[in-house]
Amino acid sequence: MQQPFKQALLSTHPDTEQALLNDIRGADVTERQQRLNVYRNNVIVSLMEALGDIFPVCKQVVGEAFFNAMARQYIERHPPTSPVLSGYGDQFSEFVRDFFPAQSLPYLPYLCDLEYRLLQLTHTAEVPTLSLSCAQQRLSQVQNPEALALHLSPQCKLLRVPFAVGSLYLAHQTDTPNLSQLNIAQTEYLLLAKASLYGRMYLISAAEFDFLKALQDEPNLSQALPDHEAFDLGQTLAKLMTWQVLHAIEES
Amino acid sequence: MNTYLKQQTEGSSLPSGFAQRTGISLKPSYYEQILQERPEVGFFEIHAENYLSPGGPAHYYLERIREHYELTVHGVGLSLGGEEPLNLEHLERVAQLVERVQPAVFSEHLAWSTHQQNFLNDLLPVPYTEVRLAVLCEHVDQVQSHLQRQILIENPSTYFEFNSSAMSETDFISELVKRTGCGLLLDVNNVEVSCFNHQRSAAEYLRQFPMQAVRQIHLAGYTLDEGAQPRLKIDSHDQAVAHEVWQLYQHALELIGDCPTLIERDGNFPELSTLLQEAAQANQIRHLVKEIDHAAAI
Repeated sequence: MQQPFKQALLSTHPDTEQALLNDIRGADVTERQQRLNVYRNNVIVSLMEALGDIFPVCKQVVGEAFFNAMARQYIERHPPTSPVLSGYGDQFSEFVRDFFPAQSLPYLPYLCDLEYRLLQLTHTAEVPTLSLSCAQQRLSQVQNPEALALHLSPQCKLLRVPFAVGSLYLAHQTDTPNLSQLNIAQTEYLLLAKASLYGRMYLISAAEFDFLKALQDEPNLSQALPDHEAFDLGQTLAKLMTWQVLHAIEES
Repeated sequence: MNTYLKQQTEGSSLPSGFAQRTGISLKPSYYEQILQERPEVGFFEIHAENYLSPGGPAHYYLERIREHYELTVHGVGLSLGGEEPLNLEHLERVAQLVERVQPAVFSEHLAWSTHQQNFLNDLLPVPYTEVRLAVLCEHVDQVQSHLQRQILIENPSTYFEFNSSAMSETDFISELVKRTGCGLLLDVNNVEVSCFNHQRSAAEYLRQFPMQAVRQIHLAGYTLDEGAQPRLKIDSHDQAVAHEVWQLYQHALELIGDCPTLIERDGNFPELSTLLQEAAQANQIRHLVKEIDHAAAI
């Protein structure tokens, strides 16, 4: 019974419901269908809302009707595989990439990927990082800057995206997004980290991206310094301390 | 009945907050206000599936709030009425949550939501047959053994009945209680919704219901689908408790005596004070019924 029920709930094809309708009490087919539709509506609407909560900026960017049409197809093709819905949508960005009506918005899958990663970060366990004052104190005690090792929090993720989805995301963190300065066809470098319970995203420069990438491989500061004219170590360190993404500062 | 269930049912007195004062659903929009104002609430109820992450705001605020309040845990994803074996990985995560927060009760539904690894995010109905009953009982036994405690099973709100059902819902639930020793969560709104949708008497449903096993009551609001023919009441949890549900609640209390109660809200969230007022209204009715009981005993 549950297999045809599941099919009838998820599918947009009317013939999938026939087997189930025969087992529903009701005066006629219309009444049986109406009764079944309550469940169908509950399932589809609640999952659309769940996807809307997981990809809120994507939903704002494309509008509710377009988002729901996309979500409707995603739900049918990729129903949740766990009762914990905060993890739902792991294939959404790939799905959006192939969703024909969204082909004119090539940045959209990158935005979805960003939103998904941030939500997953929010749900991970907190990892202790150095507070601003603690990091400042630690740095001020350094004797030999050559031997300085900066350990980034293991939760830090670095992303290079071919569109300005970081700026797009940040613009939508206010009630009235201002997109007038936004050039979407621009590569951006992003640092994803967790602070004060939530996954957070910071825009960084190409030089900072190279620096942090190098630090992740080898925490020795002098080896990680990028060969960029524009790189300002003092400014970058100040940002890392403010964002509280440093796990440890050591002198080897 | 398993020995530990019997001991638990007979040996322990219910913790005071849960037993004495009506609780409300715990929702993220209320976290800060609860910690700042510490409203007089008997307990807070959480949906297990929203609190399984090892970090983030839900985990953080739950830890703070449970320092001050008793909790109940309400599962919405174990799919006890499913045809297939339970998802053991999920059961284990729920068990860890229950172990960590030590709720006054853990409850789940007479419903299914998962089939072949697909979770459908709704509480779907079960035909009332001997075969389905046997599988449901197995699942309830399994959860009670895993959690090492009696669990409560909630009566469903349903929008259709199966031709293949061979017994009434209340007979099915009575048999479930008899075979597993589980307790019951009587959702009064679900009684109203289902009885309206199937054109039955809600009072008669309560008379048939195994009231002696009820350990908790849920009250919530429904919406009316005017467009359907016949009209259907939808268990939406996004409205105030309806007048006829309050009346039915008082009737249920007259049948069973006082009972721990929850104001359940899952959408269209009002100010916290609105839910507190509904909780106060439930407390008043509970008080009134106790007075009547007392007067009747003189």
